[in-house]
Amino acid sequence: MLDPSRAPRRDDLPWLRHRSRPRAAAPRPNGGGVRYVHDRPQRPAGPTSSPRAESAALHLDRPSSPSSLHPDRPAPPSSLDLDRPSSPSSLDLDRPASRASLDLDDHAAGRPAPQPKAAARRARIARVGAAERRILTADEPTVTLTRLQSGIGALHIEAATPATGDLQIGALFELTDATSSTVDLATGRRSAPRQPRSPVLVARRERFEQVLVDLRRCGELRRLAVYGVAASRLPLHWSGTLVVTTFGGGRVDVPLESLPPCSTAVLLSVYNVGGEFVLRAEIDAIDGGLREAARAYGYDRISWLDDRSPVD
Amino acid sequence: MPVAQLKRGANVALTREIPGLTGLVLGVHWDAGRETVLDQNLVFAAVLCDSRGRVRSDADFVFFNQLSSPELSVQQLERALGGDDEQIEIDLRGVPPEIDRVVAVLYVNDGPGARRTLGQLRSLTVRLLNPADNTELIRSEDLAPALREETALVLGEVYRHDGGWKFRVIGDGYAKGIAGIAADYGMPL
Repeated sequence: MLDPSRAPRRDDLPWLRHRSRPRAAAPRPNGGGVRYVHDRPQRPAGPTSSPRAESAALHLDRPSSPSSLHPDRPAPPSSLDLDRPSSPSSLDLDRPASRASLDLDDHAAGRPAPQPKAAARRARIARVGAAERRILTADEPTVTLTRLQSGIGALHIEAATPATGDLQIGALFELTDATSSTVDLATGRRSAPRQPRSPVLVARRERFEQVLVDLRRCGELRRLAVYGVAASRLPLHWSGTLVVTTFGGGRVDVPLESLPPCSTAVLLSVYNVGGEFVLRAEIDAIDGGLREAARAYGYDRISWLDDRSPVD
Repeated sequence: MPVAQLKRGANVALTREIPGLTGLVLGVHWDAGRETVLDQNLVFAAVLCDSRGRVRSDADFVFFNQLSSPELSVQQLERALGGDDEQIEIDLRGVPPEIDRVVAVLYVNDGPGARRTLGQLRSLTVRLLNPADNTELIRSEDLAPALREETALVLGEVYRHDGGWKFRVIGDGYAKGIAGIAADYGMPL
């Protein structure tokens, strides 16, 4: 279950300590994906194998270094900075259509998260308040949830679209234990990990298809990418909105109509950055199927049965 | 000071009773029986309040996704926790003057699965320890029998009074879960 050593640490409360008895972890006889044993520091799968990602200059083959991502920390020029205007040498989440992954090792390893040094920097991070609505666009593609919004209740992601007959959604995911696969109703992957009682991710259908993140287990999620697939495999004329809702009623909309006709598209990515979920509109038509989408986004730890179904 | 069992609403003047008291451990213990899903979805948190009884920002909600935790070995953790499931330790000398009270809460996370309630708990107690010698100072009555459909509970609070510190067992439940607590304490969700 929750590993307190991975939780974001705070150094601003020296007078308060919190101790927690680790809960018994549920067994994972056949987890929701492939679990790898690494002989080097684990990191999110990078897009370096994809020719599409050549423009991203963040080197992910390096073990974690001070250049790892943190939105609050001043970073050397070669690293990701969520606040700084994009430069060729840095990965910028605010720039549309960049497919690079983030190096989250600092946080996954449980090192203390640096504290905010400049309130002004923090203020420039796009947020969504309770009961507020924000629309992600090509110019403003990201919003960062607070640690409360990233850790309370469930995050609901729903495809509100009239093309319900043909549009199916799911999510590529990577957990902090390196498990990587999909949740996808159409291929029978209703939860991840696939033990029935306490999944981190759930795919279900109410009025529309949904992907839910159980935020009690937010510390186990490294990243996910929500995709849409035409059930007919024929190019789809996209319409409607991917709607993300927080426990407090904050809403983040990703309009889909700007997508060109295609049968597979990556719609939204979510990265867990030091306990804060960074949501990013991708709106990215994929030339090929889900397998190609996974490759383009660096989910290269998934083995595929066909172009839609992972081998778990 | 002998171990006292406090009912809901009862308070004790800690620093008047124990003048040398410089720190406190507030521990909570629950028994969820075979309800493992309930157990896994319980969240213990501390709400840091100003003199108006409100948080200053969302950073004043200290829970598993923004911890203030020391690095402890398993043995150290076991020794510190004793019979508790969760604890907060407060260095009373270090509490910033603008923090007037530290409120301990327990809630059931409202995730994608079937809804659980605190009424399913078999027992639920809070206790105070003196970290200087690990002695138990106070234990609450069992708060579980009075619980029904509640999904969040204010367990108790450590608060300033006349230049010292007091502790009160509260035991107020919320049917709206952490959203109800957030509304009362001004936590932005």
